[in-house]
This record gives sequence, structure tokens and C-alpha cells, in this order.
Amino acid sequence: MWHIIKAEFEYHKFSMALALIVIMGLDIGILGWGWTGIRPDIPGIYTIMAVVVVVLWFFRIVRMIKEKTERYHATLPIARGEIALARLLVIDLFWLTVFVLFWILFLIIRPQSFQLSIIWYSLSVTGILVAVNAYPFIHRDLFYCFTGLYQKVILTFIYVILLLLATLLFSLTAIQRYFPDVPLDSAVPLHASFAELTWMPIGALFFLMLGFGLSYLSLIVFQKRKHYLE
Amino acid sequence: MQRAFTFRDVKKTYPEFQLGPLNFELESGTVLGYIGPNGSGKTTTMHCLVGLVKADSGEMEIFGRRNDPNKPAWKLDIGYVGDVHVFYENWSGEKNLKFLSQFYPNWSDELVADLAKRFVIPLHKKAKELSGGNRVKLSLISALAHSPKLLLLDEPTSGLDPVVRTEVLDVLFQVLEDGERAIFYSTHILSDIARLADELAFLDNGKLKLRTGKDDLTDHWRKISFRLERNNLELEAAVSHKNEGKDHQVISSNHEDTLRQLRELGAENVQENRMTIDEIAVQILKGVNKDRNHGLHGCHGTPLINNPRKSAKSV
Repeated sequence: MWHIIKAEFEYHKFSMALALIVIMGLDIGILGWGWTGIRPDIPGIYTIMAVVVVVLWFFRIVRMIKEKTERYHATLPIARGEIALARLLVIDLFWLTVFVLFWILFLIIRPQSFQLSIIWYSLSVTGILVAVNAYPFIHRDLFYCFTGLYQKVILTFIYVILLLLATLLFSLTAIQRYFPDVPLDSAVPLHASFAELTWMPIGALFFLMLGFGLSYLSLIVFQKRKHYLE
Repeated sequence: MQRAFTFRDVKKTYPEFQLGPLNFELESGTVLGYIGPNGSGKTTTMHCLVGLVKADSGEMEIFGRRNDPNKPAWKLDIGYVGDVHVFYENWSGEKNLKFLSQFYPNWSDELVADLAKRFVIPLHKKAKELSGGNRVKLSLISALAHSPKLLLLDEPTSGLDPVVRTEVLDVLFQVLEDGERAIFYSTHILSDIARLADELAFLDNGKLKLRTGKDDLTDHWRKISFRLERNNLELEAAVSHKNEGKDHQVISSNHEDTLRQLRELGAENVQENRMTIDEIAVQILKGVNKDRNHGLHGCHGTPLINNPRKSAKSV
């Protein structure tokens, strides 16, 4: 499995290096000087880091599908579960690297701003990102598990609903933070609860469990596929 | 003798096609040509065996081990060249081979170098820059480099122009003629495997119709011409029969029986000509296509293959 992970890192090294440079540059910029001299905006920093990682993830997935990488790996003498785990760990390990580097920078540049809640927030975002990494694999593999048209339509419908909900949730948080004049009275309890949860230990636990739960599920679903042809 | 692979009641069903149930095996060191028209199920058979497609039922074993995708040690014994040649496209051929070498303890860099030299393949080029023929060669090198005991080749020359095809086959057969491995070679171009095969298996519409020794076919099939003033003949082992007046032309799957019958009938100017393996395969597959619902028969309802030998069997 580690041969595959190593190969994936090497194969995508340029895009990963670029993503790392962008993230580190932004981290140093925001932590060191801020955008407009304001105090470091942890959610803002994490949002930017997460967006860059998701973009990197997207380009990797597109290339994987185009080059039929899963089919390539499926012919190798390694267990299916290891292939499934390797494809997750590439992004998870990249995020872990970003996570560790952020904290090193944070403790060097802004040690006075440290609060315990920042750790919970960091872990919550980590859990969300691990979940975001795993879910599309689950969804895609389910298409290879079910052959009926109506089953695929249902899966697509579920995916669209989840995507809309996630977009709405994150949009509410951002709108409330940056456009406080926009009336969101009915939605305030929802996004406030969500936002608060990410700063709490229970929230960190919840999102980490969600992330690892979906990751585990993606290992199972990959092995249930009816074929590995693409 | 250990079996290279075994299929036991293997079935795979698609909306308009069913493969199997397949029941056959390959002995170690034997070369089996798997012949069938497009859409007959050859590639699906290969995909099921290497685990790229999950069979709906049945069992497959490779050198006595089930082809369990979660216990992949059996894959160390096989070299597979599929219908699609997949690599890390932005890596060179050399880098792709280096990546693959990590998974096979028996991998030999010397063998890779030797094969690359024989195939004349530019390993420094990125996989995406390789021509179709060179991609096939790279696949062959990756399949051969760890000296597998079983080679699975799924139409490896499909889509290649005749020059490249000949080039690839010449080198491949030089490498394979040491006779040490079992080879399962699927193709719809029989001449590709005719030189190397010990046995041939004919697949049609997902069913294995016939398996026979290659020499059994060429020893028994003949084109026979003769003169006889009689029509509506019912000749034993006749696969096809044409006549213009007294002049008859018959293709026979067992020339001895047919000739004996012609002598009894008093036929004149009897001449027999050997047939190439390609010609025989065409007749077998034609007969299969014509009588798909009734099994393997030639004209006048005679069995297409009339061979008393044990090694030839309708399945």
C-alpha cells in the first residue's frame, strides 16, 4: 500500500508542491501581517487551506478517472482494501502535513493568540475534510455496485441534496460572518449551532468520527464493486 | 500435474448476455488459444479470472489458490496483458516499470532490459507519448518481467497494424517458446496463436463450444473434392457441401470417415487438401453461428467435430 501512496505523491508532486506553497504563503501572510491588520482569522485561514486542498483533490480525482488509475492498481498483487485506503490517505496525509505546518507557524508567529478552542476547531475541520475526501469515493463506487438505472438515479438525487445542504450550511456561516446585515433570522439557529459545534470538543469528536466513519465505509464499498473497469 | 487455472461453474450475467457456466482448466506448461468472435465473452472470461470483474457465481483457482481479491498472493504467479493498457501516463515507460517492480519479488531488471532491447521500445518516453504498438510492448514487458508461471494475454495485438503486429508476435513467441509457462491467449485472429498453441478452445455467445488439441484439428480436417452423379448426399463429418452437377466440394471434420464413405459410394477423382488452422476455425465458428440454438452441427445435422479422440471434446 505504501508503494502506491509514495507513487501518488510523486506523480502529483508538482500540484502538491504548488498547493503547499500557496497554503504556506497565505498562512504566513495572514498569521504574520493579516489581510488588513486585523487579528488572525482562524476560520478564514482554515477555509482557504481547505479550499486549496479540495481543489487539489478535485484535480487528482479527474486525473485518476481519466487515466483509469484504479484499474491499474486493481491488477496489482495487493489487497483491494489497501488500494481503497491508499487512495484516501494521499489527501489525508497531505492535509495532515498542512495541519502540522500550520500549527508550527501559528506557534512561532502568534503564540499569544493560542486558545484551546482553536485546537477543537482545527480537529473539526480535519474531520470535515476527511469526510469530504471519502464521500465522493463512496458515491462513485456505489455506481459500480448497482447496475439498475433507477438505483443510479436515486444515488445521484441523494448526492445533489447533500451537496445543496452542505453548500447552504457553509454559505450561511460565511454570510453571517462577512455580511452581518443580511437578515438570516430563521437560519441563525442552524448555522450558529453548526459554527459553535466546530469550536467545541464534542464537535471535534463528532466531525472526526464522521470523517473516519465515511473513510471506513469507503473501504467497504470499494470492495463491493462489481467491477474495476473504467 | 498442477493446474494453472480452473473455472468451476463460473457465470457472469449482463442484461443481454450471459457468460458461462464455464467449466474448464489449463494444465501447467500448456498453451491454450481461446478463440471466439467479437462479443463471445473472451475478455469477460479474462476479467473474471484476474479479478477485474466479479463473477456472479462459481469459483476460479490459480495454481490451487482461489482468486480472492483480498488475498492477492495468487497474482504473483500471473502476468496479465489486458484489452486496455493502463499506466501512469505522465511517467516514462521505465518509471512505470520501476513502480511495478516493487510489487513482484521475482522481478528482474535484466529481463526488462533484454525485453526492451528485443521489442525496441523507447522506455524513456512518457506513456502518453507511446504509440499503440509500444503500449502493447510495455504491457508485455510488465507482464513478463517477473517470470510468471501463467500468462494471460487478452487479444494483445488487437488494433495494431500488420507490421507492428508481426513485430510484436515474433518477439513474443521467441520469448514464450521456452515452453515453461502456461499461456491463456484469447484472440479472434487464430493465426496469432496457431504457431504456439497446444490446444484450442472455441467460445461462442458465452458458451465454451469445443476444446481440442490443435494437431487434432489439422490432422482430421480436409477439403475434399470428388465427382459423383448423385445429389442429396449425407456424408459423415461433412461440415459444408457444395456441388455443381457431378462436381462436389466438401469440408470434412474427419477425412477418414468421409473418404471411406466416398469409396463405398463409388466417388471418382477424389482429392483431399489439408486446411490451415485459420480455415478450420472459420468453419467451426460459422457452424456455431448457423446453429446457435442447436449446438455444434454442420450441414445435414452431422456433428461439427467428429473426433473419437479423447482430447477433442464438445463441452
